[in-house]
Amino acid sequence: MNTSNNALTEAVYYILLALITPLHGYGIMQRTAELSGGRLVISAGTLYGALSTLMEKGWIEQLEVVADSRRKEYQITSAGRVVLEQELARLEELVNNGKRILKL
Amino acid sequence: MGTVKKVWNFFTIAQWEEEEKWLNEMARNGYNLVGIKGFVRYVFEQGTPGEYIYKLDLPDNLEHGLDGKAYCDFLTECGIEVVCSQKQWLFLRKKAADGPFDEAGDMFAKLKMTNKAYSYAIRTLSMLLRIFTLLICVNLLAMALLTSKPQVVELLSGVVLGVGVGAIVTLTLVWVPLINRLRKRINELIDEIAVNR
Repeated sequence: MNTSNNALTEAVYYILLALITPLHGYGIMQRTAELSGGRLVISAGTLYGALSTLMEKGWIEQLEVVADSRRKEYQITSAGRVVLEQELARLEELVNNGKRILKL
Repeated sequence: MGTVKKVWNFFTIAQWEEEEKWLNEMARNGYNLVGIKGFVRYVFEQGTPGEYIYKLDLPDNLEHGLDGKAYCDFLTECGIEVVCSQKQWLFLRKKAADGPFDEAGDMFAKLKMTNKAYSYAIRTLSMLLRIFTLLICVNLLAMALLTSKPQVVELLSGVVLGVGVGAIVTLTLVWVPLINRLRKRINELIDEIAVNR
């Protein structure tokens, strides 16, 4: 699902967007809910799986753990940013075609 | 600490959705699950009706190469309490006021859970088959070595027959329907996702 002609899931799209600033797990859940106006609720299980998949793909990375904090923080990588930009271009194409054909 | 109520109930892995629904119904009526003894004895504590929502989870650690503890820590960090575990199943709860576990009617989450239950059922079945086979082989070997003692051989052949019949009965009455049910549900969910994505 990582090539340029494939769509990101909504959850992955918002997780990547949220990680433009470093966040820990719970922070990501809150941020994605906020970004989508409370519409998108990502379950802890889904997020956990998504984070390890995104790390394997190299789209996000884990920040060094601060000694006094057990929480792990994540951040988008430059590769992840490229994927986001490609997705945005794909979404723009969808929207533009829709508007053009429906004459909106 | 509220009053404790113990309820007998039984759910197969194919019925995890029903089990989750039942636990949430109990919680809505003010009975919060605090533990399970021996698979069938659910221990509830009386509390405020609707304070908690419950969810069943089956983390597949192998898939993510992370140990169970890291996952449980992650859940705690997300405001989710691990109430108890049964084999690999986790019984989770969180305050209803903090919002739902996932989107209402999240078919993909359901599909993922059902698929995990399906692989779990297959893994357990293959383990059972290996145990049955081993038992029968050990018995046959003992029979071959103890031909001088006819009574023992007779007893052992009874055991082989018993184990064999037991294996066939559990297989056809329990495992085949259970696995079929999970597979059917997976197909239903895939069809729904194809339409409603």
